[in-house]
Amino acid sequence: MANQTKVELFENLRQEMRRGSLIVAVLAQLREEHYGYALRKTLADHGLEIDENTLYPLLRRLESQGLLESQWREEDKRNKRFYLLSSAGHEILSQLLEEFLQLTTALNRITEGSAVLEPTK
Amino acid sequence: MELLNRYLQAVKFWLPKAQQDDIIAEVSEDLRSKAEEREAILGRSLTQDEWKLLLKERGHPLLVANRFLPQHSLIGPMLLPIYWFVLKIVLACGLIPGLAVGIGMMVLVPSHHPENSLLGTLWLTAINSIFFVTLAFAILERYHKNWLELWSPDWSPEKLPPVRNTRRIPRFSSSVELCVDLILAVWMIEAYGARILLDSSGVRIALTPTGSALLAGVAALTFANACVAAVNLARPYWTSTRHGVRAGIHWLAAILCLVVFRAGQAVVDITGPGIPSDQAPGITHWVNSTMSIILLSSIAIASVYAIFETRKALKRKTANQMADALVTVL
Repeated sequence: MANQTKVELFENLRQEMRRGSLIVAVLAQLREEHYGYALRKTLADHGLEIDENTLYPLLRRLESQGLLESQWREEDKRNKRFYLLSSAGHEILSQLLEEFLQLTTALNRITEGSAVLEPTK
Repeated sequence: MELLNRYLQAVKFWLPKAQQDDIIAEVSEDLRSKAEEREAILGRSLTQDEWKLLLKERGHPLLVANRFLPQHSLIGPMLLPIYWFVLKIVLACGLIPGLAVGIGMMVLVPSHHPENSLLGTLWLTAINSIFFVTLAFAILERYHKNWLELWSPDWSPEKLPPVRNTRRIPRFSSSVELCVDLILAVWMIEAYGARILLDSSGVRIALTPTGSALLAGVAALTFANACVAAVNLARPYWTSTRHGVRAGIHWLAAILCLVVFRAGQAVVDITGPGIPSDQAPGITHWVNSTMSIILLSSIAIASVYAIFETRKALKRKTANQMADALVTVL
């Protein structure tokens, strides 16, 4: 397999793998109110970089699905849109976290002692 | 700042009207926050070049707008395989016969130039097929999201078709093929002996020497095909040899028709008291012209069959070789 193809393949798989995790992370972080830019910074501080072109459409989608609530408010003399997890969002988040935990546990068990997890020599 | 406004205007252009202002306000706020952060680090306002870099990092306006747009597909992933399947069948049925006859005419009749009309017809057929099939599937996708449940509401594994054994030859089809081939071969041999195809109601269709040669050849090939059908009846499993023999028969049939067609000679001669003598040459000419078209179609059909049979023979041979290799390894 050509190197370029390998890089592209890895990137596609990485994006696919991250997609679901990002939703959980965003929902979890929005248990406290944040506006878009601050949310992105907080997630980055926790080690989860997220592209603006992914985050803002995702926030809108989650809001349209009733998982988030938002309101425009002035802060530091500028209008900002603040997002907060809705009550439906809280319910879904706890279910998702439970599912995520089961998935992580299963993955840990599956990959335990596996050569794929050993550092490349 | 002017660059930022131009950028926001370009993004806005692609957004749905109802959400334009809301989205742009949020994108604008985000970009301003980012710029402020950089300005705080630098201790001064951003230059034109730094704004340019910041906006380029955010991406092309169309790309930014696109992420906010609902993702639509004309035909969804569930329907797509069925769409391709139907489209292939419709295109094959619409294009292959016309293409085969057209190419045959171009190659075999140098004076005939149907290129333009043929291409026009094929192009129209292809466009129409693609248009109507796509339209039908797009409507299905749009208005019947649950088409699978409508189509097959109580599916069960037991109702799925039984596993096909592609090697097995149905005895019924071999029997029918054998009977039809034998009847035809016997009739052709008799007609060849008498040099007459039909002699009744005052009409006599006699074979010319070219017609006799064609009939003899077709009779021999039909008899050969009957032999293959007899073997298939006794041992109803396809082998590469049998596919090969059938391919050979079809290739020979195509060559035979081609030779007779190229010779351009009359195949039959029509006479008899039932036909006015002044009309006999005209009728003979018309029948021979019709025979030419039949020959041309036969070349196309026999060639297609020959190609399929050759492919099957090669495929079966490769499969057998692989099976032998596997047995040896195990």
